[in-house]
Amino acid sequence: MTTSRCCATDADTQRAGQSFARILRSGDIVLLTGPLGAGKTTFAKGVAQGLGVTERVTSPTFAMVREHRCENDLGIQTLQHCDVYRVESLDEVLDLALGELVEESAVALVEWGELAESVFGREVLRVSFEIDEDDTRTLLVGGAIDEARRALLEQWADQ
Amino acid sequence: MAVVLGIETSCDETAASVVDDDFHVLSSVIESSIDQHRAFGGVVPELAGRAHVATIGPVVRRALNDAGLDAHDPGIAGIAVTSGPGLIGSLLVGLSAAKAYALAWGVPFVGVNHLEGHLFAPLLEQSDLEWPLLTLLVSGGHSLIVLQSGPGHHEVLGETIDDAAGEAYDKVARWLGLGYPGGPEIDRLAQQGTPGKLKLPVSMTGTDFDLSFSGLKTAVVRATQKQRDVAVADVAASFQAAVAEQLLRKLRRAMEKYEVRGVALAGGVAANSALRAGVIRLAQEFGVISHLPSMVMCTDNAAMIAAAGIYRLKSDGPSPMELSARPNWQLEDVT
Repeated sequence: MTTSRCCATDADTQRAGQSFARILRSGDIVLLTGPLGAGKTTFAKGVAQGLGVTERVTSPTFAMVREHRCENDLGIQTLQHCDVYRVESLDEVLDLALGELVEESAVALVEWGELAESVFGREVLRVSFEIDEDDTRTLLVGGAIDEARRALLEQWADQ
Repeated sequence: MAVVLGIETSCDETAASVVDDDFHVLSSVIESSIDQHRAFGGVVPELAGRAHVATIGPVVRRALNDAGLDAHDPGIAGIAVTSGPGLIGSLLVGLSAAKAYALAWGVPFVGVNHLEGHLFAPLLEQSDLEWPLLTLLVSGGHSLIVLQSGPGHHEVLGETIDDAAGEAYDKVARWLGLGYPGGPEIDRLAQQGTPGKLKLPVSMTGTDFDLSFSGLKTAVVRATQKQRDVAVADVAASFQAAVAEQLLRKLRRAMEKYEVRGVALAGGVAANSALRAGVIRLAQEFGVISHLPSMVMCTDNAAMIAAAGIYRLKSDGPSPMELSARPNWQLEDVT
């Protein structure tokens, strides 16, 4: 089952990310999937804001992984913002060792992560971005959602 | 005369160079793995890392030989190596090699910030530079406007809040089905097209010096879906004009605010024809000296790393052997 939320503007997408941060727990890997320009990095900026990241969050395409310190009451100290846009083989994603990156009080957001879902070796959350005819974005959330999280997610979808 | 060996492996290029302390380039070798990446539409980090391992030794030997030095006992004053920012696997190859050579030859080594390296590139090509110098540093991974009061003294006025300019070029090129890297392809096509045929928004109209290219990239995707009859050359020309317009508008604003005596371009996107023409016009208008890097200085190279290293060895001294690579090392954090 998936939960969805519509975002009419970039600011909406960023707000959706900001409140999405409240449902995250340390150890989560979240795959952000969708076409070029769908709002993945904008959403990631919102999540970072929600996690209390104060430094600037920019596209991780070049560096592959950008690490940000967080200040929040969720027990999440680090945000790993990743991008596997450049990656073409699964071995290379294994080399990034994302599972290890989130071991210590961290969460990871992985842009273009659908390319690599099979190698993460654990349940992941998925946020997929669809661009509608009128330029509205629909965000669909699926993946590892237990009962506690489902309730939070439904609140998130209704905001 | 003291000479320094520079080593650069932060991304695509494996490079080594010997530069003397008057900033004369005695040799510069650049080996690119870009052909291997072309098939993938972008840099493939593991490919890059492995390519560096295979080429670093021969590239360093060739740079030493070309400078007339004995590759076994070169008698150099030190080694400068890019220790960030860049791809971690690629950086580690250069850094490890630099440490090994430093130990073997008993010479100091210093870790250099890649972006500071780009800022030193003009010193290798132009002797009539004047400060304060305003530099627009634009590449696949970075986009910044930097004010320098002198070599090694810099202030970042603004930078991209999302994608780098070169990244936008690569992503738009991939969207249009063009080759990698996207810059040269779009620049070439843009010469044959008409800017403005594709309606794109004017972005970043604020009074600060920050830059943004993500919205422009998205606008190209959306506009080409709506206006399907626009020729690829016109799309390229429209996109290129919009990128140059934003960069030059911000540069002009910086020149109006800060009294500078020179303006320079640096980084891979400095090869772009629209940007080069625009910077020449700006320099003439403000009556300042302009520096446009040669094509070989636009690309990542080790001569600029050696130049920055000569300065850093003098000002800060050598780095410790336990120096680690810093994939996200910001220019602001270089002091």
